[in-house]
Amino acid sequence: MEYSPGTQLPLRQIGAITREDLRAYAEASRDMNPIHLDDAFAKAVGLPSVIVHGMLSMGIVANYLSEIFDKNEISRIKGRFRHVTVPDVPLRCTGGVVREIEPGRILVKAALEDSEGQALTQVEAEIKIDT
Amino acid sequence: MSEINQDFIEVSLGEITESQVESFRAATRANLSQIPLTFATRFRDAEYQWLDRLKVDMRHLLHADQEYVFHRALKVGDSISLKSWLSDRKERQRTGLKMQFFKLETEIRVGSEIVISTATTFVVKTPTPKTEGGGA
Repeated sequence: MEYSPGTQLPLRQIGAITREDLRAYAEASRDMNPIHLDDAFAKAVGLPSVIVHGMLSMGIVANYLSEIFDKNEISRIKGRFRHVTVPDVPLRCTGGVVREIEPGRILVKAALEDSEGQALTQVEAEIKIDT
Repeated sequence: MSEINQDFIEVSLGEITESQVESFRAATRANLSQIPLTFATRFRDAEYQWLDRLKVDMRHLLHADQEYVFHRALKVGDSISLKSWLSDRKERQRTGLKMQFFKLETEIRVGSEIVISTATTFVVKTPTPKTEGGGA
């Protein structure tokens, strides 16, 4: 794969995250916050419904990058949780190479988007590459 | 009040097990042989103790951003300990809303080795009564 600035990563359809997925992630991650599990609680604190764990969104994007850059070492990732993500809407991962940080190290940005292309969670990653 | 970069919370956790990793892979839809990068989100015990110490109202807590710097990959069998501190705090007032920002940094260690450095920013948005004449 070419790692020059502007290179787009392959788009990946993720599908929807269900309430069952949120329960499984809550147990796997030990994050049992009721805003992810209990619709009545979520609405009582002003949310439209239960919401997807930000770290689940970031985890899906991080895995997308790990699978694409499976021969490379990802040395840093940073996720920003831009918009609330609700269950049962189709999601996709996109990304691209931003720039070379220094010889052998690139900055990549990727996102979990809704079907309108709105970035819900953005992730930047520093990746070591062979030069 | 806790001082920036001066007070520490340390927590010892158990070993990473294959079962934990498998559950996490499945829950994050990973098709990977290695431990997923964000598996470290399981190790928030010290951060939760910080939120308790800071008397954060969890109903209004939002996770704003999360950073991980990886010094080496985690392995099944690693026995994890945490050292966590408050590295920044800010407060902003908007009409009808108080916004508090807390940045917590954590060293995830295996023995004396730091394997991952993390930085987490939480935002607490608390509704406040509107005052006569408006706000800033």
